[in-house]
Amino acid sequence: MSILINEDTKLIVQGITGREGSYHASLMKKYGTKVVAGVTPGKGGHKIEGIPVFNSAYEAVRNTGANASILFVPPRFTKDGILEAIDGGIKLIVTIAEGVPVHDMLFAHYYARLNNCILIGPNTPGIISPGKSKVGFMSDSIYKKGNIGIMSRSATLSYEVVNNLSNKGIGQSTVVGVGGDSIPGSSFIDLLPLFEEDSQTDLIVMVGEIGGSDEEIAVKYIKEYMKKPVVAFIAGEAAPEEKVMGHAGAIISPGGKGGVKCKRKALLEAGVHMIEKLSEVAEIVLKILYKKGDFKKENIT
Amino acid sequence: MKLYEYQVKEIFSKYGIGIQKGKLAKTPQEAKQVAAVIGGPVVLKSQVLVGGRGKAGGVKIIEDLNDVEKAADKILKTEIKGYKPIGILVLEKIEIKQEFYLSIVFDRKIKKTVIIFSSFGGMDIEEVSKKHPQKIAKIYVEELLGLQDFHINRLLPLLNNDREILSKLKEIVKKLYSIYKKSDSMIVEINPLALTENGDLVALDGKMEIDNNAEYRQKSLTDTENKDVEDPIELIGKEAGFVVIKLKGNISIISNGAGLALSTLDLLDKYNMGVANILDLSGGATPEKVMRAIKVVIQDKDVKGILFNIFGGITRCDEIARGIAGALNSIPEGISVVCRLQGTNRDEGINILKDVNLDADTDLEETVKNIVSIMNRG
Repeated sequence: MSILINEDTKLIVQGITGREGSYHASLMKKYGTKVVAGVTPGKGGHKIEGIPVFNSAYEAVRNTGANASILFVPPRFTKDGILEAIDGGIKLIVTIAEGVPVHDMLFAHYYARLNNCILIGPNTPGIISPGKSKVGFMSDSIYKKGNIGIMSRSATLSYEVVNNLSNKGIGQSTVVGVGGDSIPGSSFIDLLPLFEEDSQTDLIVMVGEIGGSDEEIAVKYIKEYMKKPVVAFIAGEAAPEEKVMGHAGAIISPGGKGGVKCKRKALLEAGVHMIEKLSEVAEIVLKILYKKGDFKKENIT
Repeated sequence: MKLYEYQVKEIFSKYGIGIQKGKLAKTPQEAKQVAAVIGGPVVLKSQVLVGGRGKAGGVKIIEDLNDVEKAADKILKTEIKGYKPIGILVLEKIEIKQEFYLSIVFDRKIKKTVIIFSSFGGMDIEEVSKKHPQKIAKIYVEELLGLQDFHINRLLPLLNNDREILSKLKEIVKKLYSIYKKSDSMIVEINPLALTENGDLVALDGKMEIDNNAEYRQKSLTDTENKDVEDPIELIGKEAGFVVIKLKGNISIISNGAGLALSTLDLLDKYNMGVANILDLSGGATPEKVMRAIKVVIQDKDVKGILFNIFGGITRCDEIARGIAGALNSIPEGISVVCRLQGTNRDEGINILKDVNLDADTDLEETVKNIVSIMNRG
């Protein structure tokens, strides 16, 4: 099945007339994503790469039956863009921009929840269900259809994991970038139940970072409800305390809260397999799947 | 971005939160003039962005106005935790009946706003929470609901059920909440919030930190004076449009993502190799941007080696390679460059680097080993 997006996802691109928006709209379409409309206020009636453009998300949804949206808009317009999509009836929103003000996201986060809308990002490369649909800007050639679910706070580290897996012939069900900001629309805890229920996913790789406590919160759920194996990597072991390490989210508060050691300990206790080096992901994943009997040798290329 | 006490108090005053009479002075003479206008005993407070001023000699109560100039001179010359004061806040000394603590903070862990109040003010709040946890109230405010009267009513027990103080406190909490929201704050803190002999509530100190992502719409608050807390190389980076993090060591990591940089840092650490700085190119860097990045990191005198770790997605390896090749001549002798290229247009990138006699690996660990051996060779 895959989670969040599949071949039936009908996508609108907010900010489609911008440089990034138009470029990635065409790449997503080329990959096979059903990009049904674009939205740019004042540009309604135009076409970009054969995709009709509307003045508002509301109009776009009414005319095309879209059920997902991706925002290629600058951080300062992100809050309004998210609220517009929610108001238009969209139930899955992916927002790319990095550097959205915290108070903007605070409101958008809770407003999305109130409306049963799944918000992914900001500061994410997006979502891809290989072979079916891509809602994001990741370079799709490294992905391969398969049975591993991946969620990552860092874009580049998710590429590392995917590359390592695909090179060993291990494909992915869905790869989700939860984003590196302080307030992600969705966190690990929101995605775990979806992966647990998904029939295509046999194992989940979680790529975390220092800062926040999303990993620790996920631990409780893993302990109590997850039957599928979870493998985790956490970046930032060598980072000093109280420094913002690039991602606003990756800050260790004094006293080791949010540090790698803290997270690692909690995850190990929940039975999660910890990875020391990203170059070892495929090897560890294979070992676990063999043991479980979910993996057939002939699947390895 | 943190604000100075004098800036915070200007904001408090604008929103109608009571503060002491006083003014910022840049010189001992100015301090004397301000003190003369106030008349009577004054408090001199060093303006730095780090805590622990009192213990470091940055706060002095002066009873005799003739002593102000000398004391101010001393405070202005006293560095606090390595930071030079930008001035002195000269304030009237007031008589205090009781001290409270009040702050509004964004709690990242639970993604909510928290109001923290204590009837034990003037102390380090972490200290109070350890020793007198029953004297602290934490009130969580739902974002979509916003601050309501009932939230603040819950503080009544900590005020010995004094409704008169509660109604005054209510006004202050509401004003502080609107400052928190309107100025994109991560934290606003009044410690101590003093109850005076006349029954007024006065903010004796103030702290604020503004969300860096919202600086564009808080320009009036985040003026240039606040830059001095940053490391020089971080500042050079910021002016060139990059996030640079200064660390301790000799390697500069340039990568196209924060997570990638972090995992590179971890790997170097496993080989006992320290990192001088980290520069994040973010997605889609052009050759010009790469050249600009190199120009930034070589200004860090600690740098002896540059490690590029690029996993192309939206970023194209050939563009990165073109930037590296273009800047190669400007890199001082004695700084080695190693590159790891992977992802979009990897092979084109590797070929471009080959033409300028620079080897690039597709494997991160090999690249790390490579720079470690170069560094150890000296």
